[in-house]
Amino acid sequence: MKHDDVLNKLNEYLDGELSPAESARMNAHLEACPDCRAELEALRELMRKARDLPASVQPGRDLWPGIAARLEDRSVVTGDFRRKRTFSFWHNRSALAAAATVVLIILSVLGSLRPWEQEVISSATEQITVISTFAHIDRASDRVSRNILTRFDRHGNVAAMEANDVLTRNIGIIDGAIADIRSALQTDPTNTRLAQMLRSEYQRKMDLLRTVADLLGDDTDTGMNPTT
Amino acid sequence: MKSTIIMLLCLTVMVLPAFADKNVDETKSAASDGTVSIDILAGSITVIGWDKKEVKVTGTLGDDIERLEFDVDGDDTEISVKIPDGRGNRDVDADLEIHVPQRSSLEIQTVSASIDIDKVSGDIEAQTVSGSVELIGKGGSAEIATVSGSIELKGSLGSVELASVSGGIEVTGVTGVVEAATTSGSIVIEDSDLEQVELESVSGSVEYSGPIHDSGSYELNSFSGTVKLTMSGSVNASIDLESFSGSIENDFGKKPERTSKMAPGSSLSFTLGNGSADISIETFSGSIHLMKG
Amino acid sequence: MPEVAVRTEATLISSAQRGDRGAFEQIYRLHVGRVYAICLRLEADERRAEELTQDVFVRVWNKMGSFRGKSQFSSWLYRLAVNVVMEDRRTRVRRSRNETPSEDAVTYASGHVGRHTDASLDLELALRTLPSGARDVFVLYDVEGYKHEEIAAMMGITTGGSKAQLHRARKLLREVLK
Repeated sequence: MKHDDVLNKLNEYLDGELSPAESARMNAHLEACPDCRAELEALRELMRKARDLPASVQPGRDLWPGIAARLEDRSVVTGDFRRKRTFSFWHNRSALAAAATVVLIILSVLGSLRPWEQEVISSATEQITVISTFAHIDRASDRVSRNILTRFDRHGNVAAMEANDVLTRNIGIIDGAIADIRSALQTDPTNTRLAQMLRSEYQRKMDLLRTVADLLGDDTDTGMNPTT
Repeated sequence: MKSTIIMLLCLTVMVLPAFADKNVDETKSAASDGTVSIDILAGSITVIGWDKKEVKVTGTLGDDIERLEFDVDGDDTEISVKIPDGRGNRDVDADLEIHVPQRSSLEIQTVSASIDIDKVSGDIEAQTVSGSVELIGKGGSAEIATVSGSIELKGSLGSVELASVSGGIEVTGVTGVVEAATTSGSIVIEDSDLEQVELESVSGSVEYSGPIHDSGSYELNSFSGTVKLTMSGSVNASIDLESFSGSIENDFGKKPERTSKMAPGSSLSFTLGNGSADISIETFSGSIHLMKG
Repeated sequence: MPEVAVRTEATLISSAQRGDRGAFEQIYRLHVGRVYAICLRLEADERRAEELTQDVFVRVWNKMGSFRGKSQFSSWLYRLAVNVVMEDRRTRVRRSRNETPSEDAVTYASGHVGRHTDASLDLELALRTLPSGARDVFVLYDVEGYKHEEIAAMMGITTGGSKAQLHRARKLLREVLK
């Protein structure tokens, strides 16, 4: 191998990018050539120094006040999927028709949740903010439904009905899981894994409800709400 | 003679029914790495990255769509359809093929349109109710959420987050990091080279087959669905399997133990090689299968 | 023990996602060092790095809702930091390609002597002398450990371009540090 070739390829050799044949040729050359070996060692040394640089460096001053001042209030967790734009297609009537039946599910589901949410809190081993997030979904859904339901298009919509079915069925599946865990907890009340599972299923149900709320374009400033 | 023919042709055209789909063919300049947002109700969306600093939209719009809305504002391009207010909007399908600068990021929302994305390397976000999503990754990140649509990924991607309610999730031949959660859909990951994987389902099955990276972390959970982990090649991993009432089958020798006197469940913890990767599988009633690939 | 620490961070993350600024401040304190280090090495300028660090955390706050996982928050965060730096570059006039170590660099270096060995101090200073394209790739590949595909995607260049810049950076640094 010529020296120029070697020098050019040393980097790739070090990064494991040469083919087995090329690596073998490189090895052979390096055994015979002290200059190239020195170069290799120097490169290795550089890479070692780079890896050993301190992983973190504290800034010279506390940057938090500057950051805190720029944080917008977020009492609502909306997935970043939707940017707040005024021209979202969800504002079209036909899309609202599709969405409207979905909202009705949320409301009916929320209605059935409230009686046992209290029970759940006391049996879970950790205080989870289930109540406050339910309340949020509650308020959000109220706002959304007030606007959507007044424009509900009764012509019906295949997509809406299918989504309706899917969501009802799957919330039912999660509810089934929750019931299974709760009865298992009765036979084994100190089982922390069961408690963790219970929390995960609530979170999942919450996420599902929130995803639907997101799909409905539930941003605080979508322009759908004339007043707060 | 010629003029008569021309006149006849014109009359024919004028008399043709006005119910033909409208064709679309518009091109605008755009930033090479801006964001392209696409919002349509139904139909199909095909996005292809190219090396021009332009966004080009071609396709057809259903009868009840008034027009295509296609605006560029700085780095942001927005594409949607205008549907007139009023009842009886039946034909609102838009079938669009959209070429975008390959480094663009995408934000796509639809109720039921199918989505196909190829050769785009920016960050990709997509939300559908029932539309399916097929993405061939080119190094960017992907966040996809659907209610009942299916999600299929291939290619190379940075971080991937997938969520479905009932739609199935399939990831094939992908490099990157994958998190996927579904309620009743199934999750299948194969032929992929992933360093970090978090998969969960409530009633659907979860399957991962592929190599295990020495510094990787693999978490597979299902409540009542089956979990199958097939590991190929040499494996260095600390493995932790737990099920409340499901069975555990292990190709690698060790047998599971009963977790407690009260529960019917089993657990199994062991190490392969130097134990550097983390593997954790948990189910409530689903069976767990650890297999050699 | 490690399990407890992870759980604490997971709790902080969900609280922050719900708008709890106190929790977000904790997250900031846990990660600011890493984020600042990334910004500083990519930008080679303390003031810029401080501004960018703040931009990063504001962006993290806005994007918290889209973070749905537990175990890779830090990689998500650091990747976001790199993206913020790259985006900032695109909206600014590029500085001249051959920079000499600024006054700031010397002050910074002497202020941080305790944390560095001699060798790494030299490297930090030498890094600042690299042209920005080469410096970016060296920092992302050799210091931070990203792969060429990832770097190419983040920087909007080709994988081949990334490799070329890396080789150039290593060669230049070898020269400077001789």
